[in-house]
Amino acid sequence: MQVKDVIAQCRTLADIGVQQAIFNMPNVHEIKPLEVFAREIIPVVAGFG
Amino acid sequence: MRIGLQVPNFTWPEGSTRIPGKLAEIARTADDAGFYSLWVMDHFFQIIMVGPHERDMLECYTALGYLAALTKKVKLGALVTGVIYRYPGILVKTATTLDVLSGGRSYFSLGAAWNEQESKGLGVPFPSLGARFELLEEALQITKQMWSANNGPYHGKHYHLEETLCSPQPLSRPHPPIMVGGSGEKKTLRMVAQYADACNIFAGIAMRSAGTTERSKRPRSAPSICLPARCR
Repeated sequence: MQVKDVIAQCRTLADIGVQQAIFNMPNVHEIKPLEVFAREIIPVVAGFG
Repeated sequence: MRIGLQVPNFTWPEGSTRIPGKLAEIARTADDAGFYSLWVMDHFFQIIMVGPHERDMLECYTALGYLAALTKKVKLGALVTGVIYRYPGILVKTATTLDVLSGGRSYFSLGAAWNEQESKGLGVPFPSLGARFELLEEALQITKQMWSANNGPYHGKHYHLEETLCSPQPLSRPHPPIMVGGSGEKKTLRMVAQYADACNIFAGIAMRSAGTTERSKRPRSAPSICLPARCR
């Protein structure tokens, strides 16, 4: 998934009342995905819902 | 919306000797990155959806205690604990210990369990689905009682506890958020509404069942939690 896809999915879920989305990251050991979430996703979706 | 992170796999390129260091790096990074919650599975064999069952799998509450010591802000939980794995009184003590030692940062999760292979493999009784749902409901009742001022006995169909003492009580008030795993309309969502603060469902199911959760009379304050997808 790309960043825009994650944000879009979070928007959809927030719109139906979901308050928290838990991401299953098989490549979490690479650390970079966490940095992308911190920089590009978490601040944006914090305003959803 | 809040974002959580589940670590589903401990088989990393560096090998099992590097698990402690890599897990610590993941936990500290997630904590600093602003993730709201950090989760590990409560399984003893790797699950088939992630990889071969022989792959590395850590016992979850031991791992969560390690994560509690490494982090400062992120909430911690098991996604989700199978009711058949531990006697419920001992499970509540384990979960309470995690909450106290993490400074009130824990979730408590419970589900009916599904992985018969690991249960048979390790000699854990794996009753019928109907019985497991009965165990789940009784375990939720025991949890609520142990996290209340009622230290009296509990007598259910399956479990009998003479003194439901839990001292210390959790630091989370009134208690750690209780999450029930699953999305079944007849039993699971009814238990969510009756006993829990959250439910754990997959993203696709969440979207299909937006109306279902309304029908189940789930408290409006209850956060739904789901696993949208893998992310790269």
